[in-house]
Amino acid sequence: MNNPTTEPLWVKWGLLTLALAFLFCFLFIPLIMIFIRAFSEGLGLYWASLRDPEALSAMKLTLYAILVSVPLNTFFGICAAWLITKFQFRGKQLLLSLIDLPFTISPVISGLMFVLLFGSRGFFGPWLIDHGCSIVFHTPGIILVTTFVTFPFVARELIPLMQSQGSDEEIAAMTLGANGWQTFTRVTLPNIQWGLVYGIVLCTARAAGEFGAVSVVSGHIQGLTNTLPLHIEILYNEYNFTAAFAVSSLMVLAALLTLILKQYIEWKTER
Amino acid sequence: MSIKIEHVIKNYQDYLALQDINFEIQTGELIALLGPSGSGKTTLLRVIAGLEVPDSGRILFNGEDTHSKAVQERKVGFVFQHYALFKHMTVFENIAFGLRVKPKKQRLDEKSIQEKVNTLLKLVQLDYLGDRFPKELSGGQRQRVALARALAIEPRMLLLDEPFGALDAKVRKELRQWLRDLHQSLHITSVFVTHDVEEALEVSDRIVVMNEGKIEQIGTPDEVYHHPANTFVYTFIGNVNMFRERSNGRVSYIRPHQLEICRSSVDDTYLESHITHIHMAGPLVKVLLTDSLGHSFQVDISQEDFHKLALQKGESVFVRPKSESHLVQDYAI
Repeated sequence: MNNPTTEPLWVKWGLLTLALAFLFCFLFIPLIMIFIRAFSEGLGLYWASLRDPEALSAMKLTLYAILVSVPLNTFFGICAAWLITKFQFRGKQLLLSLIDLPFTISPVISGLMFVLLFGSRGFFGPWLIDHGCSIVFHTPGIILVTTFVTFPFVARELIPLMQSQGSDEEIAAMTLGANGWQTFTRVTLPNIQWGLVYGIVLCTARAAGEFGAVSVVSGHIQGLTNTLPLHIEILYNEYNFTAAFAVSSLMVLAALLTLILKQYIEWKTER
Repeated sequence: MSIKIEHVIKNYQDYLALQDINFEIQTGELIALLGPSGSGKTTLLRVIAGLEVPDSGRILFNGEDTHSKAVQERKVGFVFQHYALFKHMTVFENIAFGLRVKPKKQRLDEKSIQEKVNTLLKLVQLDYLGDRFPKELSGGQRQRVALARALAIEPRMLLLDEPFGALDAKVRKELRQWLRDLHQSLHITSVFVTHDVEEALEVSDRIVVMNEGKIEQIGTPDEVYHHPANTFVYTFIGNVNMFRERSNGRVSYIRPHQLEICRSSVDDTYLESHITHIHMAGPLVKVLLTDSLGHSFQVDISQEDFHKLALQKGESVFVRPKSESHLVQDYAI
């Protein structure tokens, strides 16, 4: 018997087929093509493209950007979410919109902003360069824009979660004698842990894949200021397709891993 | 511990939540803060707990000003309407929380904590549920865990914010009685907030009736019910009929059980009325009537009287107060 509140079976299967067909055309085929192209000239060349010193240095820089920006944004994200959900103050909506700013402006503009601020003719640039601290076209610039672009992920993930949970449990902890730190580590953190991990996963994925903003401040100095996405672009522009796709396949694998992790977290939170 | 509240005022942006509150709670008393929503009763409870800071006025615990004391130092057991149990901890760990967060010097050793939690679990009759998580419990069980958790820190007083508000009627009645018994055996100074008149009358030693940020009356349940201080208390506690005299506009009040229904009138104290509805269920029969001016009112009569009179819906009858003294003039209260 069909449940009166659900659609007939053919609708269900029809929609499912449509969704799968769409995914197949626009997701699976392109992804598979990456791997086919990457291995088209044999495993040896694939391996060599990955072991190339410039590729390795790009990997290192990307990893470096992740290692700095993700912890920073995790910290700031928790602070911002805490501030917004546990306190009442004027201008809360404005702050919320500001947190979203990196999402709403184009990454290229984000990159340009930092060039304008820290470039050799920028606002702080000359002074900083005089004091031996170059940012644009150097590693700090890449880390800076990556942090900027990925800032909203953790905060955005935590704010609705913490809003829905309210602060009764924290107040209860306080009346039971817990200080601020104990309340945070024993009550708040366990309640938001999976939301937090989810935010971190998304933040990491974006930090690894960011192209536009990083491209503007990097200066494309091979072996020095190239991240993985920039390295791929250069390889591609040099008609070095096999190497480009080999490195791409690495990022695809990382993305798949992220997806699996995300799925696991969702499964975990539903329990 | 005794609590003294002196000239407490609390404003929220555009409305006065508490307007000059003064009263004292004796050691071991069970006090109900009763009032409609928005009367300031929860705000007052939170001020006592230290969760809200009053704009002016003082709260004294055993004669000592609490102004500089943080929530953590006040040692108040606070129970929330929606339990506020720690979702990720077992019942046992919830109750142990207050013992585990103590500074190292004052903390009990693990064995003593275990013993203490087990004693508390027995006290709230949940010793078989220690390893469950809050979501696996019923509402009534959760509130008992919340109470055990609050009691674990050996609080100097117990503050309960609509503790039974989220429970269904039957469980609420059971828990009410249970709280009364628990208070009898522990004798801890307790204050609970409620908007349920019956609950306040049944459980508390004294009731503080609040309305619009002010105290309307403080008294025992008996005093508040039988000798209401003013019109608000009279109309808020229990059912009441209001009559307005046509000649001078004076208002008088009377409770439904203080009226009687007759078949015939003797003098002009009898009010001719129409029966519009009859509720038979319950120990008393509730008869709804309308007088010649169109005012509706209610008369509660016993089942025997009802059958003696053989009343029918739509009939015309005569109503009068059982005693003239029952009729309360507005200014007389």
